[in-house]
Amino acid sequence: MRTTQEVLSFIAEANPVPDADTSTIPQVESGAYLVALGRRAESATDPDRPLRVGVVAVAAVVIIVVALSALVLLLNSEPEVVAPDPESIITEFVTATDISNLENTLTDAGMLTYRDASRPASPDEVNEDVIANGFEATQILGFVYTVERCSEPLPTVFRCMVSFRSHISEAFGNDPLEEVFTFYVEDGRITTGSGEFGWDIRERGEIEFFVFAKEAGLEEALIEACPNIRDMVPSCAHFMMDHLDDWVAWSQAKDGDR
Amino acid sequence: MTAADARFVAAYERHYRRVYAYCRRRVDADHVDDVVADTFLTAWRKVEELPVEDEVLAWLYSIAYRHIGHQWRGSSRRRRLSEKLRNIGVEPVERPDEVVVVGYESSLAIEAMARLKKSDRELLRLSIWEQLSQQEMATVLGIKPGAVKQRLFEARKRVTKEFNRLENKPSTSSLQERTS
Repeated sequence: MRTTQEVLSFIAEANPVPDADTSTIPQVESGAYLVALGRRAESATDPDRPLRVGVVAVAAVVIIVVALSALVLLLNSEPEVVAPDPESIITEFVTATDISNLENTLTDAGMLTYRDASRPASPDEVNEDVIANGFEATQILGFVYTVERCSEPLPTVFRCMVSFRSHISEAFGNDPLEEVFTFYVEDGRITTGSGEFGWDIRERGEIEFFVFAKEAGLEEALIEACPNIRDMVPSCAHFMMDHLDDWVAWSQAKDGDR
Repeated sequence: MTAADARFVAAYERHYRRVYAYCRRRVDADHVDDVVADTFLTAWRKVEELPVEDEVLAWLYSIAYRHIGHQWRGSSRRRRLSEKLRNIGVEPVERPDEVVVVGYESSLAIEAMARLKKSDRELLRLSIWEQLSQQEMATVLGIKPGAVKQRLFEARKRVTKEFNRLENKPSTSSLQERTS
């Protein structure tokens, strides 16, 4: 049985870069490096550039289609028919279809925060039960994602303000967590891109609740309800909800002592 | 050169190597240059927010931490590919730069660390590899110093538990054979 100190020393030994690299660094004399850096970033990594191109392309197609439709209508139909406004078509497309999809995607993503997606997963670890349990637990905990203020509609990328709240954040009187998220359309599905590091939404729940439960003498019940703190199950979510008020009171008293 | 540019250049020259090492410890060699460049580019754009000298490094780490997060999608795709390959009986080719020659216990410690939450892993790295103070770790992760203390305590406990579990697991003998 190794001690914590031993394990930490093994981690220290595993440091892939024990000392900071002493090789030469790109020079910043006369700001040349910065200029180059800026150009590189703008040409290679500026995410808005392809997006802007995409917007123009989509808008052009929509305008052409609408113009042709209007022309056909003008020639063949009743004179009172008015061609739809291209801008309203785009807005409708984004608000009616994509945002609802984004919120569904976020619900899935939120459920997946109950597992660390970067962990090496063994085949028996990822199964339908884990997913179903995680999803049910998020429902019990009242996870709500709201997607709003999306940037321009684009063929493959969206940027939106996402806010998250749950029964826990509400009980603690916390404002919804807000973060700008980037979404990507890949293989016909919308996936979340950035934001993983900003989605440690269980921070309070995971750490503090277990401390509270132990201090409140609920340890045995906790172990029974939450057999694996990593993969949230409905019984654990219920357990948290059942003790939410006590937990809030305990936490507030603790904050008051500090 | 403006005063802000001069401050940036000073921060760049002083901290470039440590930021590079920080990134190298966390991303593939192929992506390090890009992440470091993006980090300093962001720092340059936010030069007005450049903190006082004692806090500059942690501030730069916090920017790098975010950029490294954006690498997640790529690594996630590679992992899915590896899993698919393994499922059909093909062992994915290990990239040469990912082979780190370390002792058996250190390999096990890394494996134990991989079983923790991402944020816990980062706390351990910041503490052990970057030797940051709790205040600095709080700056990097954007959390309160009090939370760092508590989470670090839990992370150390968990990694020790995972390590002991791995060491006592019979299947780890193959790892021992591989690394010895």
